[in-house]
Amino acid sequence: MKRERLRAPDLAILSAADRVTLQLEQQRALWDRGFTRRRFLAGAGMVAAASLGSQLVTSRHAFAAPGTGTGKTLVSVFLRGGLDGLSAVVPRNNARYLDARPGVGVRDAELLALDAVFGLHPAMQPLHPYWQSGQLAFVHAVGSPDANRDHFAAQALIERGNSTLTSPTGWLDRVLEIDGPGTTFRAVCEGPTVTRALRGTQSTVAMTGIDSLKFTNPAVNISTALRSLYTGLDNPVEGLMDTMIRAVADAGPIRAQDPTWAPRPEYTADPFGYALADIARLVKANAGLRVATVDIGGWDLHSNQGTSSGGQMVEHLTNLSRNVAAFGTDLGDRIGDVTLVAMSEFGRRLAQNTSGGTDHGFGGLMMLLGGGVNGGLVHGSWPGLEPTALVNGDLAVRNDCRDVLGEAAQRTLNLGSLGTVFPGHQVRPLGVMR
Amino acid sequence: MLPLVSELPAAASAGSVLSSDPDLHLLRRATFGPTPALLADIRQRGRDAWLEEQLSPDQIDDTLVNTLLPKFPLISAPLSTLNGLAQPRTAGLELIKATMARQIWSRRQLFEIMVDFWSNHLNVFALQSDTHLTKPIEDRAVIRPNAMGRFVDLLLADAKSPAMLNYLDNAKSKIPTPNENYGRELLQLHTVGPTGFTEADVKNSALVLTGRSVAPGGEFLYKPTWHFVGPVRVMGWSASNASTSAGLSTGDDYVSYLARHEQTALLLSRKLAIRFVSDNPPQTLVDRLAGVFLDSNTAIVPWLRALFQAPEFAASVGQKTRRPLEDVVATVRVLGIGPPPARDLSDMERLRVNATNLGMQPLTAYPPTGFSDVAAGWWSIGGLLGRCNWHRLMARGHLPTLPRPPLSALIAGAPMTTHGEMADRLTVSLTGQTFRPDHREALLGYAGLSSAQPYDKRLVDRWLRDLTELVLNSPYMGLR
Repeated sequence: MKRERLRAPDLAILSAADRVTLQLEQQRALWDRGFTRRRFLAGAGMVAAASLGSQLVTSRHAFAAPGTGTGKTLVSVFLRGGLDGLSAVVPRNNARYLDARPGVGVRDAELLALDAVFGLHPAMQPLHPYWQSGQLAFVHAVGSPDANRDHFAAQALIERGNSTLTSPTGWLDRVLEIDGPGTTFRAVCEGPTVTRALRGTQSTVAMTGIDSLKFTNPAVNISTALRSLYTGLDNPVEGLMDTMIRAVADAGPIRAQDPTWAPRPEYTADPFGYALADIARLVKANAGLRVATVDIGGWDLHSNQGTSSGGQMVEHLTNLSRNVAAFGTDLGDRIGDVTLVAMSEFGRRLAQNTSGGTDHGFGGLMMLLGGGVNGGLVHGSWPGLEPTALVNGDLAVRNDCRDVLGEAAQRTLNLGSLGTVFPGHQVRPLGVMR
Repeated sequence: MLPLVSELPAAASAGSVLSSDPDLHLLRRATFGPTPALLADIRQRGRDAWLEEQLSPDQIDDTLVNTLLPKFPLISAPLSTLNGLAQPRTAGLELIKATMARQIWSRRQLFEIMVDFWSNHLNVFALQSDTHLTKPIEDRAVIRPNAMGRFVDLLLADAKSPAMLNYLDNAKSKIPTPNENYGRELLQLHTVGPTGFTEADVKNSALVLTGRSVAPGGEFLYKPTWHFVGPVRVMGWSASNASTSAGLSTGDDYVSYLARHEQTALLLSRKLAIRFVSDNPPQTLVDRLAGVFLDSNTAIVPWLRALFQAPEFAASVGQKTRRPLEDVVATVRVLGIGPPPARDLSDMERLRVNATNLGMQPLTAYPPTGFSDVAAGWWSIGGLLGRCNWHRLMARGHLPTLPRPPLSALIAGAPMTTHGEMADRLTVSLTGQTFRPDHREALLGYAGLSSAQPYDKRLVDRWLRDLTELVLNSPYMGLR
């Protein structure tokens, strides 16, 4: 535990604060015997609510000094709402596709070249150089084979890495468990709350950028008092205050490396651009970041999706591509230490509806970017769009998203074994990593 | 026959720091935050009388809020006025501020919680271009009139609400290939839940609802020529659906079927128990509530009464947490801050921005699932830090245009002899209870004080703001 520097006005009350600290340590010795949390979970039947504070599990806490941070980073981007994969990576010269999508379909002449079967939506042009340099790959017809077309359930299946919704913790939480202890910032969720993929027993910092981790109360002994008040609660918020105080303390030295930091102009001035910029900042500051998550919503385009030359889909794909490309530029050489994997809960129906949109479908699209990605390829098997290949009128799920996530995590973070990251599922790598 | 609330034993939840005082427990759950005045009221009248009054909101005099609402004229303005707005977004923003004002100052506290509950269950994002004018109308014509009525009436009204029909795209849904968004979410989110039906059911659901649309002026409009004609079947319901003219009544029959479905009763009862009892409520309670819901033809008042009379409710002290919006509202309430006295609504805007910064501006959950109602959805490092910084502002006079008593009122009364007495008085004012002894010492220790010390007014005056901030940061405020 770092010792806060004392300021002059607070010296007068040191003795009282120290008294409290001593009581707190004695009390914690009692509670830390695993008594609190286990009894709470059993008593209240709260199997789904692991400790939100999680200091019980993560024992080692150290800020890696600049230049000493090693290890690589997995960045999980969740496109909330159901990305229309058939608009992003388009089957070329496919009569089934064009017939089903007279308004929203993208014609071959407009596509950027990928391979013999697929072309890239023109709005994703900023990412095309990464395809050409072999750092960008896609997986089509991918998803959770057990998903239905419900946003919440389909997202939860992917984020919990399970074939049922019974597993209470997220797949990235279990990845961290295998990865072992790390720094305060080893797991960061860019956003106001912890995403389902990271919920569980491992400590995660949820924040809207490291610049936001500033406590406006300047008194040093507030930490002692707050820690004490969050001790012995028999509630999952037990310990969260302690994690918060450590994160605030450790954020300072990282910010100090670049006090005038601002996102590069290539990013868009919105939460998604800011989140990716902040992740790049943490990587470059050697903060010990292992896993980061960021969300981007707005993909549930049931109506007015637009055409290939303009409209909502073009705006969303442009925003996504511009920011992910900016992330790659921002990382520079460090792109070799990072794998970004983007996913969505499901794809959209093959046929557009009468309001110029697409409804919830099945098979979706994943995207990977990074130095270790086996890029320039659309991985996995492709079922095609013939009527017999469709499932309820939709692109089938031919590739299991867990195989992609598992391979990306294992190879990026150099995990020996994936253990029970995906309960009941044996990961079969598709070769998305080199 | 269920026991009266007052007949249940005061069940302590093992290990919780929250007091198991049943009056306080009920107020923490059935209001947006207890206040000393509310606690005195329930102690005087008893829990049963207090709850019965809350279950009949029309009988509660709400003069304060009724005199405040004219400051938000757009929430009651006719569509013609709204359509003439140069900046339509102001209508949605005004509704959000009025919603927070009602949560803070209305005496119909349980009613406001139910308005929040149903607004979230039937979520509509209030700030998009095709909802910011119609959401205020939905709030006053669909949600509020039915929030304590019958669910079947609420759902029937919602299925004709322009805000909902725009938000979930049904306004554009027509033959031959309907938009499935509302037809699917009506099943999955609003009624029977994610299981028990097929993709064919979803497609039929969308077909039944074709034609329910919105006129250019923002009124509900059924468009017969857009309606699918022919046999339709969803789960155990079917209709010949033989004419476009009967399309609307066929749809109402379908919506009524879903509202009264057993799976709906279970889904809603679980959600209600998560709202009021715990993040993972006992199945026995959920089953029993579902029975009450079905037996009373989806009436909401008997359902709520059964919940508050349940032993599972009594035994759940401290198992819920305050979400960010509930924290913002409860903080304003417990500090005794009054409504804006003049036309100046800048502090209502500050309140809205504060809720937004904490991630929970009311009526603005973007996905149709609405806001999460469990601790894991909200309690994070950034979220906790945001709350602490908000409490510091509030203890230091944030919201300067709103009238407020001095902090010294929190410890007013007979002369005090020790700092321990002062701490007890402060925590009782702000949280309704004294702190556990070690927590009380931690609180006082922050100011360099301790319980046994003789009361020193000069020291307490100097530290009262900081002590108030720390009490607001404590789990006695964060848990409920």
